[in-house]
Amino acid sequence: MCEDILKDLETDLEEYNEIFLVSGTEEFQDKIVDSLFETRNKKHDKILVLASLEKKPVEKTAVVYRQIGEEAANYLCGLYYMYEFSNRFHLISKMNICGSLFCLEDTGVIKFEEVKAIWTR
Amino acid sequence: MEVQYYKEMRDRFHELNQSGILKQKKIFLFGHCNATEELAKLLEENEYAAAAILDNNTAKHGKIYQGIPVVPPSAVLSEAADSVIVCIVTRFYEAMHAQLRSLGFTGEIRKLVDYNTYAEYSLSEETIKRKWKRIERGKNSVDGLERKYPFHFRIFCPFSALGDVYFCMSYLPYFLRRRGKKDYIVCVPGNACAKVVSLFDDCPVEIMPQKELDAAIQAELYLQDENAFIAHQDRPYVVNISKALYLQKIPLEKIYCCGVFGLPEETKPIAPKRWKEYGDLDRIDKHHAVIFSPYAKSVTALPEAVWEEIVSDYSEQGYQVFTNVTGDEEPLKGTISISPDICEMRSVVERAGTFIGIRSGMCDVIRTADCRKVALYPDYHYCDTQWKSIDIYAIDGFENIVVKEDFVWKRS
Repeated sequence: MCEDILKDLETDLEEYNEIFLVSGTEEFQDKIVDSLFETRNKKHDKILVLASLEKKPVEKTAVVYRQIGEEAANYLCGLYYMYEFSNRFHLISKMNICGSLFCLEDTGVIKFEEVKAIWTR
Repeated sequence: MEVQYYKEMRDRFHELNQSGILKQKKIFLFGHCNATEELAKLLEENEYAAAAILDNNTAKHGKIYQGIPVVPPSAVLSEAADSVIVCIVTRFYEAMHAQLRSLGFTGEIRKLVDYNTYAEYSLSEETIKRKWKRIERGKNSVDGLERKYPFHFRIFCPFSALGDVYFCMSYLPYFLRRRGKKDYIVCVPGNACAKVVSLFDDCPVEIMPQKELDAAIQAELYLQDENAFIAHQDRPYVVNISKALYLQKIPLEKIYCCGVFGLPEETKPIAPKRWKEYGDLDRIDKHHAVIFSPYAKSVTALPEAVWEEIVSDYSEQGYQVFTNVTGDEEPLKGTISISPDICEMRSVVERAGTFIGIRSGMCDVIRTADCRKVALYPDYHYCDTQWKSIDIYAIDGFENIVVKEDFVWKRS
């Protein structure tokens, strides 16, 4: 199973310019995935969004959404925490163990629109 | 640049030098930062000259640093690949290496300092196994901490910088209260950082070698341990809080308060209270002396001429002039060396009446002292943002002065 996930990841890193793994509550995933569709669809880059949420693909966008199982999501999160294996793989998640852009958003320092803009850079 | 990394850079440079490769190639550096400047100096001392510094920050393009132009990374492509070597001494080796390769650069790229064992752009079985072993090593350290301090919440300050530890401790009590944590330990990478912790609280402090600390943090991240918190604002320890600086100017203190600890913006930082009096205060003329603090670990050094100008101005006015030094640091020309402990610094600067320092963590340490305080800022951009160091680090209660090329010291 892990070997398959790794193989897929290697293939995806070759095929896509950037990969976003979204992890968190269903509501959080829904909000973030939608925002990635909105913000990334004007770019020419090929973007892959991974999350465990069931989601209908949005047409007219360069963003590809793929639903993954919980086991794959956990494995990829673990790998991300273990080391930086690529600068094109991003985890979007609220974390308890350290601060994040979402802390800046929660405290009103930046707006969600700005958080989204950071992902588009 | 920390001493251990400087030594590593120097050793690797000498290996390269002995191999003869530097004599045959045009040398490019990547990433305009303090470490790169140190490398540029080292090259110059050994009679080499860097052709250019590659940098992604468009605001820096066209600038000249000690005769070396700062240019976009793609500029390296204008040279024949086999006639060029790119030397990298920043923490972002992997990303820079990947960028150069994606640009189509096929020439030699060398890493001269390996301070980011966190990043390695490979998914090979061997790499994953090695990183997994690192997690296991880190887990062993964490288990050791747990045995030594059972039921203590663990705070990790991964960066060897007094200012970062100062900010952490300024807001930590509020954070711990929110989380309902009472007993805690703070893990830091050096003795000076531990002393900053002790200015605020008598909690246990664990001093860990940097690589062991990094491995422990990596293990805590991997395990998403609920009994640990990583009090830092930049990669690889957190998910890019500092990227917010691409859009907004946010002072570092606010990043700690709101971005790291998630506290409301109006939260008042706790001031350090556990000061001691310097044992030799009588040697300092009361309110007629200046304490200079010209050294910083991770900030570009200011030209000696700047310090000489300020020292000579105060000497002419009859002030006693001291340089705060540690280890093998030399006092500024014409000044007396003084080496108070961190917890004694406040008494020293208050006695002297004036403190003038490069903007380093020492400025944070004495920020609540009652005296004239001047912070000097090298004129550089904060990381690859559009903001200058003064935008991010300016301190209330200080005279914050940027030292540009045409700098002239103005007597107050």
